[in-house]
Amino acid sequence: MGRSFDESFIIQRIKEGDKEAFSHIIDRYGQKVFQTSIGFVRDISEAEDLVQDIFIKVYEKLDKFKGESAFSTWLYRIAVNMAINRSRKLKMRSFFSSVEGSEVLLNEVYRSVGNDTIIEEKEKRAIIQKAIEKLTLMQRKVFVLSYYQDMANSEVAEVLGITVKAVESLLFRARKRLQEQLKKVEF
Amino acid sequence: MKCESFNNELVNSGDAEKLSAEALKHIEKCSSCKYQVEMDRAVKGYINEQKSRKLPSYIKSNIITSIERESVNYFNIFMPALRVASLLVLFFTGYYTAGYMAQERSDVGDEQIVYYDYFTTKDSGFSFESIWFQD
Repeated sequence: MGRSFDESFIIQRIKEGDKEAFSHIIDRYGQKVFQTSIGFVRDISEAEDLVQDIFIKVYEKLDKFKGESAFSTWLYRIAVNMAINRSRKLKMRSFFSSVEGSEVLLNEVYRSVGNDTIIEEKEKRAIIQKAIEKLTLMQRKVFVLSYYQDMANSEVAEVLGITVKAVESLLFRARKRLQEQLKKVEF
Repeated sequence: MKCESFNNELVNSGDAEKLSAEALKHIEKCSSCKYQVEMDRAVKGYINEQKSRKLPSYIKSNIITSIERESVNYFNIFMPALRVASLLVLFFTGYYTAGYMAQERSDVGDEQIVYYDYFTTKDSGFSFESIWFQD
């Protein structure tokens, strides 16, 4: 109760032009938004840039927030959409900048793993990251919110505008898919 | 416990640390299921490592600076005025265009009206033609 009261008071102050009040919003949600960004964008500096862009967008769109949902839900919805867009752009950029492309890179990692039973920590991380990237868009959204933000299924459902059942099903399929991807290699 | 039911339990719970006693007993004997648990732990470890990264403090000041810069952006200041001006331009353009078209319509030649009457009158043509011929 106190939290939501504080929040609506802060939002009101921002809407009235108090820019400093926005720093409270960054303090409260910055880390969570950063975690979401990392979940979608591999590169840390890209994730930091993304956090900045998300908060600037939130500030610009604050007038449109009518309080119909929790502020956090509204904010995370913006964060997820922007993160998805950014990861798409990065994917395109890396596809055009690298002749190999991510698909080929993953196969490369798998091949090297096959030759060597001991995987270095760096390779291991790359394999897991690639496996996460192979999830479908919705699976990935649900996976990131659930695992990177530790959100309850009901919260994930609210942010993504789907049912709790759908979240459960997407999570199940995401885990299954991850398992299948990681089965190809031996840690 | 069979491997399939073990796998279902693992995927359903989503947490290798919350497995039932029966499942734990199963992985003692089954190396491939034990491997699934290790993979699950590796994924969790990777995610936890990523999550533990802290957002640098300069990001907050960058955001606040950008917001302040944004608010003195002249485009944003003049945007409402620009919107009103474009609405006024649209309104007056519409008003004068409509006026002009009405004028055009009133300038339609008499012969057009005659034609119109000619073809819509029951006893078409006769009276007009006789008047014209008389002139």
